[in-house]
Amino acid sequence: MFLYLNVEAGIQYGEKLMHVVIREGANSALYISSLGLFPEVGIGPRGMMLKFRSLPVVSKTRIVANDLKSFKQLVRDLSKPESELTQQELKQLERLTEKFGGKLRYDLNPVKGKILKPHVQVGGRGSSIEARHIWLGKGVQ
Amino acid sequence: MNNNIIHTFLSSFFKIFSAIINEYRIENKKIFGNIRWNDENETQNFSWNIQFEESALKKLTQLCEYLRNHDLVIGDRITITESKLQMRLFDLGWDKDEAQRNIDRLCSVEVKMIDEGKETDSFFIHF
Repeated sequence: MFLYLNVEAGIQYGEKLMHVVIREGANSALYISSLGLFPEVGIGPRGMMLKFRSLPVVSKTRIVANDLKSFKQLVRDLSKPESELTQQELKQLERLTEKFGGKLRYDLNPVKGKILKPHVQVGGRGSSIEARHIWLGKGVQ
Repeated sequence: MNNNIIHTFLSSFFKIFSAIINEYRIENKKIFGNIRWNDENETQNFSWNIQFEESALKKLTQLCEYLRNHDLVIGDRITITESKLQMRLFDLGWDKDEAQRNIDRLCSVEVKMIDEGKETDSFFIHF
């Protein structure tokens, strides 16, 4: 069995863009690369180029920001009414917020007000995004 | 209705969020405008259906100023209980019903944020 791994560095924060290619049989090989980099071929025994059956494993998140400006835009986007965070996205947002020097403030149980839906707000990175509500999906805490 | 009273109320409401009204216009009991932030070079369009009479707006202005002057709001949340706020307003000379009525009114205010012409998030205060 031949195993070749190539996981490219520099993938955007929070993203897992990987492509797994497997060929079954005597000369089985496993090839992992960032998506789009030799997506369907790998090197087999004696340097032969092999064509593989493609099994894409793509787990993409919307909780991505490369700089403070894009982070603020992300918060604005997430504050739209139809946008609800999953538990995993909430964790990602918490890490991303801390990366940019902010902190999430949790309001999981608002008791009186116009909107009583659980939400978080970003503190410490300016008042304009602190006012934004990032809504949580059902059961997220 | 006196537009200045509407403007004064919203100014005090937005101060809680560290924002200042840049400009506004009132059409058919609805106010449209734009705010800017004290600490950032950012602006935000907003709209609000004017839901109260002048006397209520004056009381709500006082309530917003009280909350802000005593740092009783973090983010959008009033940091003391409703009954405690009611007691504090009572100590200021408001009667109990008046305090409750105006707390209820403030908690019903929802000022819509407008992004690219669409209502998205909103400014509101809750316990």
